[in-house]
Amino acid sequence: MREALAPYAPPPGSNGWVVAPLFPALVALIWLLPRGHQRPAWPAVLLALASALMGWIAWFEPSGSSLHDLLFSAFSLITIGAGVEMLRQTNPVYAALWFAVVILGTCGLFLLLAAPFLAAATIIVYAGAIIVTFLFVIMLAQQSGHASYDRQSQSPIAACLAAFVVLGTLLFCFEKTFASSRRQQELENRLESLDWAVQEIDRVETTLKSLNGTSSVESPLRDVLGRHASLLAKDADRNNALEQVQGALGEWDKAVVDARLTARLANLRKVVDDFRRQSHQEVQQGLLRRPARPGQAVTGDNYDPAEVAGLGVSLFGQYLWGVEMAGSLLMVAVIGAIAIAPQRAGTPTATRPPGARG
Amino acid sequence: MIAVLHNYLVVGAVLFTLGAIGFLTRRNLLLMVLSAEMMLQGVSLTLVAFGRYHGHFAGQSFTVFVLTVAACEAAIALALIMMLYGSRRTLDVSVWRDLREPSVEPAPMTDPSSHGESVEDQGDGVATGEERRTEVGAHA
Repeated sequence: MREALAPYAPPPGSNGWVVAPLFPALVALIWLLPRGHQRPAWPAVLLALASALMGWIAWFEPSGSSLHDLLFSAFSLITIGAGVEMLRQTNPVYAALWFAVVILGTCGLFLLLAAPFLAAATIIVYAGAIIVTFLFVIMLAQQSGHASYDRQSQSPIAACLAAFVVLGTLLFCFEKTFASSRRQQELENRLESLDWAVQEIDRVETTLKSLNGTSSVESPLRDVLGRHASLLAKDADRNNALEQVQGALGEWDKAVVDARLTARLANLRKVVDDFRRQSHQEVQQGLLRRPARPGQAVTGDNYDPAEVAGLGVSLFGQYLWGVEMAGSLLMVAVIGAIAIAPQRAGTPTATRPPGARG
Repeated sequence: MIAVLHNYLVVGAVLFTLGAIGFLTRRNLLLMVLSAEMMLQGVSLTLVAFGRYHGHFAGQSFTVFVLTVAACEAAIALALIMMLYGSRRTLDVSVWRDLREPSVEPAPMTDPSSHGESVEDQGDGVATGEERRTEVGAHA
């Protein structure tokens, strides 16, 4: 049982303490949600700032570029702060405006992720169209003064608890899976070098056979390789397998007296070491992007991720069908919205007079 | 440009959770829809970060689709809200509790200011529930 669960155990670096910043944030959010009577905001603000600091310590991974880190921190703080502010506003107009700030912060993050077209499109669609329409509807439908249903939220404690359980689970999984992306990358690189090493060993082996026609050295190595061929299939054991194969290489090294073979093995080891050092350097620089594969023009992989042309090629090549579907969906939605929207009171075709009980 | 995937995933998850809390706690129909849009923003951020991580454009393309669906959703939702407002003259979501199944009792609202409405609603619910029960009894 324990062995079966081993691949799912958290890596040694991570622990459950990554969810610790959520507790003060939970208390602060419950305090801040509107409850029908005024409460001083400063204790919750202090708690929220403390949890933001804790979260920054617990979750933030420096990218190596201090400007990028600074911009990321600023934009994410703006986004999350405006989101909280939107939740605690009792006036829906202000809530919609804070939502516009959330959109702007998200667009900043899009820019940092090298998606300038999306940043512009989101600002145009959300801040330009959706929020303005919302404001119109709020103006049309808003009663004078603050409505009672805006001053009091619905079961805030239960809702916050449920949502924070989801958030804690998500953050724990992210910590387990993606914070160790460096380790994962390293593992992949090691696997590549390992494959190469196995091929090289095969080649050396055939050379050895042709040299003296015996298989005296062959059998222990064959055993080791055969045993680890199955291990290679499992991600969790790649490291282990690599180490054991390297150990076997060392033993074999001692057994082989041929100078040419020793030289070739040293070369092999050097190449493997170089590979590992190089991948380690890449990982340390935070270059988490995989190299683009050649000959895949239709997916836009040949383009730099910051280029808008690549997005166009991807949208109108790989996802052309989806674009057509999205256009049809938009048209159907517009027709549906016009059909649903209440007619003006004086129109003779009005099927539903305003004020009728549905 | 350098970007670390994990940071963006955390911000996306936090946005999603804030939107979920807004959707659950707010009683204004408009603000519920806005909170749902905030959840979509969190998802979009996650998609773009993943696309950046893998070095292809699938994440950005999906975000364009998310944007389209969000616009459709806003249009339909606003039309529906205007219709609902036209028939009840309020944006309170708890007024529409009688869309539930008649035999299921709602939890009593603990709001003193809209007490009259909720009591009336519960009365409706109980009445329909009784009706349903008597109907079933008659059939039996």
